[in-house]
Formats: sequence, C-alpha cells, structure tokens
Amino acid sequence: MNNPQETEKLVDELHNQPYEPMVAAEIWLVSISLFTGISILIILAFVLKN
Amino acid sequence: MGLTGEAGYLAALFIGLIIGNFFTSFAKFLSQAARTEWFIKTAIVLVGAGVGLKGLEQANLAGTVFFRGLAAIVEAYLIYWALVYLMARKVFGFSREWAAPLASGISICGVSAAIATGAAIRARPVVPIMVSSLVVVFSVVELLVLPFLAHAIIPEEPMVAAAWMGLAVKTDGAAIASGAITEALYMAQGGFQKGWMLMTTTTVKIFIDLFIGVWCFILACVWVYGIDRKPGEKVSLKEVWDRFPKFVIGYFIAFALFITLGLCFPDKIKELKESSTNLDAFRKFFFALAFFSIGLSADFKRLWQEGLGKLILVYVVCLFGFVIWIGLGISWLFFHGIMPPTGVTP
Repeated sequence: MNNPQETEKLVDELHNQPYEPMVAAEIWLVSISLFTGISILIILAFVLKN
Repeated sequence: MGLTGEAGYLAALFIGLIIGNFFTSFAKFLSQAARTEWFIKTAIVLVGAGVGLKGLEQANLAGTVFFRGLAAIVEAYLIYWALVYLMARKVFGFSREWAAPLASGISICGVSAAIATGAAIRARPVVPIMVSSLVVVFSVVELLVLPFLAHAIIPEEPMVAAAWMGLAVKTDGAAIASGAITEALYMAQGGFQKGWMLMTTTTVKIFIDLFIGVWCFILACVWVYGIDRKPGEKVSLKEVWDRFPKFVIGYFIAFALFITLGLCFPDKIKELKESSTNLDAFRKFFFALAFFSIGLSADFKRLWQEGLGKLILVYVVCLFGFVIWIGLGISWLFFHGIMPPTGVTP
C-alpha cells in the first residue's frame, strides 16, 4: 500500500472508475440471487404463518 | 483500554494515522511489522471459536428463534448482496473488483465478509481493507442510532427490534452491543426476562456469519468460470481452490472444534467459555492491530481524503436507502407478535 504510483492509480480509479459492462455471469448471479431469495422468503413466511 | 471493540478499532486507526502522518520515521520503522491482512485473517479465524460457542448456547435456548434465523441468511446473502452489487455496478459505475467487496461489506457481516470476498475474486488487498474501514465507522453510527430508532418506531415489538439489530448492524461486536442496548431499552418498559432479545440478535448474526464460506465458494466459482475465464479456456477445479480464502477454513475448524467440544462435554462448557473469552481478547487485539496498520500507511490517508467520497455515498445510499428498511420489514414478517417471557429472569 505504500507505493505512490499504486495509490495514485487507486485514487484515480475511485474518481473515474473504468467502464466495465456487466457480463452474463454477473447478471445471472444477481438475478438468481434475488429470485431465490424472494421465493424462499415467501415460502418461509407462508410456512411460519401456518 | 476498556473500550468496546469498534471504539477500540477506531482509536487504533486514529493512533496509526497520527504516527503515519506526524512521526514518519517511526512509521517507517514500524511498517515492516504492519501486516494488515495477516492480522485481520488471524482475527477472523478466532471469531470462529466465539461463533461456535455462541451457537451452542443459542441452540440450548430456543428452537423457534433458531429457525427464524434462516430468514436472515436468505436476506443478507441473496437479497442484500444482489441489490448492493447491482447498485454499485449500475448506478455508481464501480468495477467488479470494488463492487463485490462493497456488496459483501454492506450486506453480510462487514470486515470478515469484505476480506473473504476480496480474496475469492482476487481483488487487490487494499480494496477490501478500504471497505472494512468504512464498515467499522458505519457500524458505530448504526450502534448509536438504530436501537433508539427501533424503540421509537416499534415500541410494542421487542423481538422485531432485536432481530433488526442482527440484520442491519454490520460487525459482530456492534450488532451484539446494539442488541444489548435494545434489550435494556425494552426491558425498562416491559418487565421482560433478560437475555431473549440479545439471544435473538446474536442468533441472527451467527447465521449470517456461518455462511461466509459458502458465499465465498459461490463467488469464487462465478468469477473463475463466468467472469475471468477467457473464451475457449479450460478451467480446472484447482483454480477455485486457489481462490478460496483459506482462512475461512480456519474459521470453520475453530467453529466446529468449539461446538463439538461443547456437545461432547456439556459439563466443560464453563471452561470452554473461559477459553473463548481469552481468545476474544486476542481477536480484539488482532483487529486493533489491523486497524492500526491501516492508519499507519501514509497512502491510506490520501485514499481516505481523496477517494472515499464515492464509497461513502454507495454505503450511505444502500444502508439507509434499503438495507435497514428491508431488514426491518423482514424482522417484522418473522418476529412480530412474538414476545419474550415476562417476569424475573431465572
């Protein structure tokens, strides 16, 4: 961490993040996570209420 | 020092910053020993022992709360993580290397999750460390605000408030301290038995902690097979193993050891508790050393001054925009109407 060039790069990165489009694997991960999470929550809520 | 974990870590960070900026030759002398990552990983392995023992205690107390803790895992990993990651990538334009540790830090259990995720996706070490320092600062803010907010908006629902602390406050120490404050606030009004609210907060947090390893494995697989793989390249399972943060295994071994010893020798739980308390002192010491090392680095000051604004913005928007409110909604869904027993604590 004590490398001035590396720090400079990181500071620049934090201000201007390089554009990195979301790839299929990321979209799948986010979609499956949300879908599974919400489905399990609904099932758990249903089971607990009955 | 008699400080809570988080206050101690902030003090260590502050002392490191002072030495790093005003006593530069001394800082240079200390820099060889400032092994931030090593300190954090050692502390995380020690967390496993404490989690194991707490898990054992909670299992003896109440199955109902234990079952409902499942909802916490679903929420923290599958809903929070995905939403924070999506926000960081799409709205704030962060790269994957920053977005994944940020998502884990904000949504799971702060420092341990950010460091483990950083290792799983092969982020540069400074990335999860920056996120970790942010997590600790915001945990203190949450600790000071959320218990009182809970008591003000849901005065009739002590268990909802307790579960909410476990879901919303992001470091173990701050979450458990929030649970204790919440319990004190509600006990003053309702004459409830001591321990039930704190047990709920702790159980929810333990569930979240336990799944760090599973989530890291999933992330390592997604990154190896879906993101970093070049077209036509064959990737072996060894690559997943290489990426998997090994200190998580240490964490699980410590967890399994303590819970197994507790189950096999129930008459020795008192001794196990004593050794866990001793280990906890080391855990706090290593975390404090880690934050001291972070502060010691001159470059960290520059990063904080110039680069942290955007990270703070993501953190504030996600945490106060939806993380704590979804946490409240789910705590309400699973815990409303459940009351701790009243009367004198047995």
